[in-house]
Amino acid sequence: MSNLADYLTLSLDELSSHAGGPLDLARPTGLDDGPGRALELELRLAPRECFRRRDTRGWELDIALQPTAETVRFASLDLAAELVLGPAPRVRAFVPSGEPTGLDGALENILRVSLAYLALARGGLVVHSASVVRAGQAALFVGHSGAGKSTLARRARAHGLCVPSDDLNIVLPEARGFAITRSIFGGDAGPDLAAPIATPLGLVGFLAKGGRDEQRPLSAGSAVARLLACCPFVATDPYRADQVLHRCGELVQRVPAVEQWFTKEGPLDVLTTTRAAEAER
Amino acid sequence: MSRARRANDVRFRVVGGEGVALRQRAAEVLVLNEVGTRIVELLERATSTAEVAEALALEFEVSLEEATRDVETFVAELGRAGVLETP
Repeated sequence: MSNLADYLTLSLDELSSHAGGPLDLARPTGLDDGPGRALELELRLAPRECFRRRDTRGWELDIALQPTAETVRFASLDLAAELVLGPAPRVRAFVPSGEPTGLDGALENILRVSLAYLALARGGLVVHSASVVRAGQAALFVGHSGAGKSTLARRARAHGLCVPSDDLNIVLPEARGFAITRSIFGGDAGPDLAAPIATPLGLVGFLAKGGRDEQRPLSAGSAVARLLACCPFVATDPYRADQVLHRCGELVQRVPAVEQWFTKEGPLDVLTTTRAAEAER
Repeated sequence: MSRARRANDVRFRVVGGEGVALRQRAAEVLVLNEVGTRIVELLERATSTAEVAEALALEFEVSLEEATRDVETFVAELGRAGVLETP
């Protein structure tokens, strides 16, 4: 597991004293536009030498975290940031000056970490998954990179179904369970910004490889274990692991969980049918 | 018999009768069967593994010898997996 010093030559506090003033940014929103719910972002440029140069050949996205009960400091390639949680969450972030091309990636990583924590604080989770909406219900297909999320999403789109995201989905509580919210994260195709703001979650499917079209109910314990493995950042945070474990338990007890196999040619119904899983419960 | 306790970095929760152990340092999750789940639950408040074996023998209606063997095997297995530690 990496730490902040792998990416920074100074501590975050020292870096702050070397950085310029905040950039003038439009105020980005977090999970919604409710009062006090927006995520305030302060972005500052810092000297290039504050950030370690890394050989990026073969490097995969890695974000080092240093959480406390109230804050999360994090760093990655050309990025250092601190998320302060609470009723008015805010991020102060530093990026190297003179390299504006890296800004998009930095902002995306800031949001990846921040939304994972904000969703947890609001009773939900951010999950590596592809979501598919059909008939007013969402199915969430959970899996790491290579599990088949993008393939499944392409198939669903080809059949005219809405795919809010095939990368990271934000799951939040609603009156009768959980709902998928419109995501800002997408894979190759990007997020579907025309997706409904919130869609009730009717099924959680854990992607399996096996060349057949089938759904099988999954035990609650197995579902929690597999869900935990796909909740980025928060599941390994010692201050929040109990909360994440509890949340995963709540979700699989309120939403049918199945193991999902699919082929590129099989019937699409198997992907979005929740009745079979519900009947097993 | 010795004492055993959950390792500091392990979070544990029972969901639908199954125990789920999250090992944070290793970023690993284990699902325990019914007996394993009960042993970990009993260890939370027992003073020794012998006490756990006694409770298990009563609950599962097996001999104390069999329960003791199960507990020893399970504690050793979960020790190797980093879920339990013996001081």
